[in-house]
Amino acid sequence: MFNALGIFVIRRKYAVVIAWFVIILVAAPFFTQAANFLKPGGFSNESFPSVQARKVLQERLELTTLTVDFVFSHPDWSVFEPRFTGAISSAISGLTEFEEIDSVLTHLDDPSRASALSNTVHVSAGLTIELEESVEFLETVTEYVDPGPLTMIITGGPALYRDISLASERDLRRGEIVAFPIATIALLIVFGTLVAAFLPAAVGGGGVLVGVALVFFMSQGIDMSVFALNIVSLLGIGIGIDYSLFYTSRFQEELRSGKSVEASVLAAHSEAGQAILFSAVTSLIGLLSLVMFDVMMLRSVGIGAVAVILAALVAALTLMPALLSILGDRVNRFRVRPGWALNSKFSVWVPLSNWVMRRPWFVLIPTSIILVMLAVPALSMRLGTVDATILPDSLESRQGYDVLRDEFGFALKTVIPVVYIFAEEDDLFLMSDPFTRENIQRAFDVGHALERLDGVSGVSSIVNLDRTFGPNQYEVLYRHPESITDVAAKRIIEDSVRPGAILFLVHSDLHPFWPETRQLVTDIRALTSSDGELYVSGGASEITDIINTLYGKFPVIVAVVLVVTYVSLLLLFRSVLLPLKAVILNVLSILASYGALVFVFQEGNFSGLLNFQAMGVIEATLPILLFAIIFGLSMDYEIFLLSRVSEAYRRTGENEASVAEGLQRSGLIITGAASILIIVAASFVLADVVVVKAIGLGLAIAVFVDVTLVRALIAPAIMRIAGPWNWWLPDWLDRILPKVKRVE
Amino acid sequence: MSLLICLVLLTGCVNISETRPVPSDAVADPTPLPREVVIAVDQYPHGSRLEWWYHNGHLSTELGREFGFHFVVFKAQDGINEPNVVAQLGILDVDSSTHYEASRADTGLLFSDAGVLDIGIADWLYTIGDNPGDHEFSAKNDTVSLSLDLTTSTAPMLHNEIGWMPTEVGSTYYYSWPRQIANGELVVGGESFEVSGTAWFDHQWGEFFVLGKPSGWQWFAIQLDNGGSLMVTEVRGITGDVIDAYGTYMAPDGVVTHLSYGADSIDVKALDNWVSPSTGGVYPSGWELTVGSIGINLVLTPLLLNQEVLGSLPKASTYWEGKVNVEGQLKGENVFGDAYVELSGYVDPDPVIWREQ
Repeated sequence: MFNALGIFVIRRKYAVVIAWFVIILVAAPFFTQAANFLKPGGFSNESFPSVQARKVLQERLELTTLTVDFVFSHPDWSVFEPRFTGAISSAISGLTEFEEIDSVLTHLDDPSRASALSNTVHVSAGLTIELEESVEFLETVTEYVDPGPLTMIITGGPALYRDISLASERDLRRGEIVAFPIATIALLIVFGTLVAAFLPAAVGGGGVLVGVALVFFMSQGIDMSVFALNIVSLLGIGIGIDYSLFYTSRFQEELRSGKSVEASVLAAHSEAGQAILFSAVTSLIGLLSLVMFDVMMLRSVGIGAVAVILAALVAALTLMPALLSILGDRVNRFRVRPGWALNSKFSVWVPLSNWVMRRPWFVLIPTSIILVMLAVPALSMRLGTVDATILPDSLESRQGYDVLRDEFGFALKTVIPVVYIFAEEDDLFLMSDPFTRENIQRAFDVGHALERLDGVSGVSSIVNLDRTFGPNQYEVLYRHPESITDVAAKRIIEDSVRPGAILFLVHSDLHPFWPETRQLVTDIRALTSSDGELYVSGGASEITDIINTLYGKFPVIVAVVLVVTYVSLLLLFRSVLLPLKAVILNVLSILASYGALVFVFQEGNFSGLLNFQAMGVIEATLPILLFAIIFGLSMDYEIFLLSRVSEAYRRTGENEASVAEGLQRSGLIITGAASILIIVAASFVLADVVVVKAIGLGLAIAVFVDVTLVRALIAPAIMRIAGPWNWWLPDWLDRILPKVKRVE
Repeated sequence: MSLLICLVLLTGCVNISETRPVPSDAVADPTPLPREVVIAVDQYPHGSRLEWWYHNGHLSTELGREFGFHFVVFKAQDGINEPNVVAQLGILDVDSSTHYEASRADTGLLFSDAGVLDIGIADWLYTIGDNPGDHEFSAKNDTVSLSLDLTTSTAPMLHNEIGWMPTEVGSTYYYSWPRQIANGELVVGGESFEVSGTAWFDHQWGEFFVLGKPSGWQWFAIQLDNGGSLMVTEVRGITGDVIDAYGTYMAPDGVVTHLSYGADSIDVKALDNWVSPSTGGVYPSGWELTVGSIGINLVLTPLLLNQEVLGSLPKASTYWEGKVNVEGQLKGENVFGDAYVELSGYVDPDPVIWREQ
């Protein structure tokens, strides 16, 4: 069938090219439209306890945790002067008329929202809508609010969210602009001719275009995250180039050996095509694992990546042979590199492979130690999420965030909203008054249990107003709650109590997104009361759910991916040891990139050079995304290398010579493909958004480690040491394993 | 593979806490025990939930033009956030019967060196001097401005003998400097005056709440011409009934007498009412004050009916704080004097919206 596909494409080469041309033409408009239909965010889902708690907060206490934040300032006017307060009143008047806005809080409601030193006031508009909808609504608010003589900066969840998306997109564009010319030069160096260098760009580009168009169509039926676009583009370019590079170079090699164009295409299709197919299947397995996550962002990255890999695979197996059949010898036109450079005798890979073959232990031990050392920092990885400091300070939302942090201590500490619902909430009589002696006692118990948890610096609630008060004093205090004159206490009574429900704000000096805070969330959730139920809301709670969901399944998914990969490589190479070696080395490459991420982005090393602020944590989705992408890519390289070794071994039956030949024949191609990907990925280090930087650097380091330490040194050294064991397959296994038919 | 899984387990997942039942703290309320008040230390801010430094006084120019003032700095602290600080200024121009008020709010406290505390409240400044009983402040808005130096001429007056008293909802430390000498500059109606006179100072702090209507108080700070000083407070409880009255009298020779409701026969009788056009609050206006044990019977008459402080910044409670004339008898002798009266809890509070629904 594989052979038939090759023959079919060669016979109908023009029809195939025209068909692809039409497909690309049809896909192009959808490619450009895809971003408009993808949704930002998508990190949580409805079943999360934090999402349930958010609903309880909204429904029972009419509170929202999502706000548009305004920072008003004036160089001369004091914040409580009538002209300042008048200007604010005028700016925000009518805001509560919007049904999307629940309430507006100013410094007149809460004096701590005013900074007299910098004449700055923090005003918040609480939203009744979800984050995704709020980004659009933000534009309406921005146009509506006229600050008059005051300076206004708008920040808060929706603005930060919008800017993170915009800045990420801008970063990716800029990265592509920088990477494209450099990658082109790298392609020219690898292929040596202009025409051949054009092919990967055409096939890779075509694959990405069609893949993204597929994402567009899928986004019409299911929710897809905008993050999918970035990852899909990056992965599509990398994999498309890999496939076409491997295919084209093999075709050139066959041509040089004197075969006809058709025979060369068929031979390339047989060996390279089959390796590409297996490589794609392996990558698909890795990326399909993302679909198993109950998190829209990862699921859509998985679906998108599958689409783009399928498109790249089909392009490599149809468009590529069709183009090569048409081009024939002309693929070597417009030479930009001397012919001798293509001759493997002059390649660095020959002496390198010979050197590794002569002293495998001498190579294996130190390189393995280096690899393990690179991976060691990963053991201190702290997963979390990032705050607005990942944004460049040229953006308005970041500037506003900085003012809120510096002037009002915003986001430096954690506030966890905990809603306590009385057990009798269904009983209208019992739920009528939270200020009865019995209900005050229950709330008092909960409030003080929360105060005693590790990491809690204080609790705000109707029963935590005063450290010297007990239930009796509170009962007296709340006989006429409206008569309380204390502004802060009055606000707590207005906002944090409703029939049957009491809100506790748990304060902690811990950073909202750090692991210790997730432990606090877990501790709060572990508190049980027979008199009622606790619902833990807020950012820290949502992050806890996201990370628990991601990493609750991650080990299982990792295990499934590794096992399935092992089995598919077992089928391809009919060896017990080689797939095991491949899987272990791939994991080590990934761990090395994790270690680098921790060393650089968590600990802040090279922060000056790379122009970023240390995150203190690794963004929780990064390790999973990198696992999926790197596993797919490095498996490409492994399969390309092993397929050449295996091919030589089938021909010669000599292990050592086969390993050397495989390394020599695949070395340039793998290095070329990897160099291009490293260039593309490393260009994202120029990004403004730190997470994009981290993805780029993590990917670049992983691929670099993979093609240098792993593929060039460790893999051949292990294969040399293993000798005939490389090809050992028990008879019983040989009998039950299905045969992969080869085109001869 | 196992290394990766270990890594993931180590880093990704939080420890699962065992469930823990909420313990019941069903015990009697903690009983706060007072400590000794040390003025040199206690004149400065405390970490307590509520605290205020308050001055009132009776000022005049060289030409005899009379003014009254009150200036107060409130600090509220919830133990989590920076303290909120609100300052209010009230000025009565007796000649023109005009009452002015201004306010500022801020967060946090600014400390300076050498034991002197500067509290900046936006563009206002209040200084607690090194020497107990010495203060300075400057406060202004577009229409009124007052800067005063205040130095004490007496010993402090610790109320309830030890300077501490329980309330219905908490307890408060409380002392006064009943006679401070005031000198400074006043600007009203575009005119600037050098002023001097006598002032009264109160300092309260503690873990307590100030409740509005129906709770509240009538507070009298009286400076008699004979050199005596008298503070009397009548307290209404959560039901609106008078539940207590207490006071402190400092005789001209400095001897301090603590006065209690029943034992000392304190009686406060309102002679009239005044209805606020701004808030609709019905305030007593004009009083007959009797303290049987020390033979005092005084009639206090407001110099202006409307000395209501709306306290609009931020949305704070409304009260009446006014300069009054004093005349009457002390142990059978005629006495005169000046006083400030504070009336709290006479305006209907805003309802708690969700309880109304």
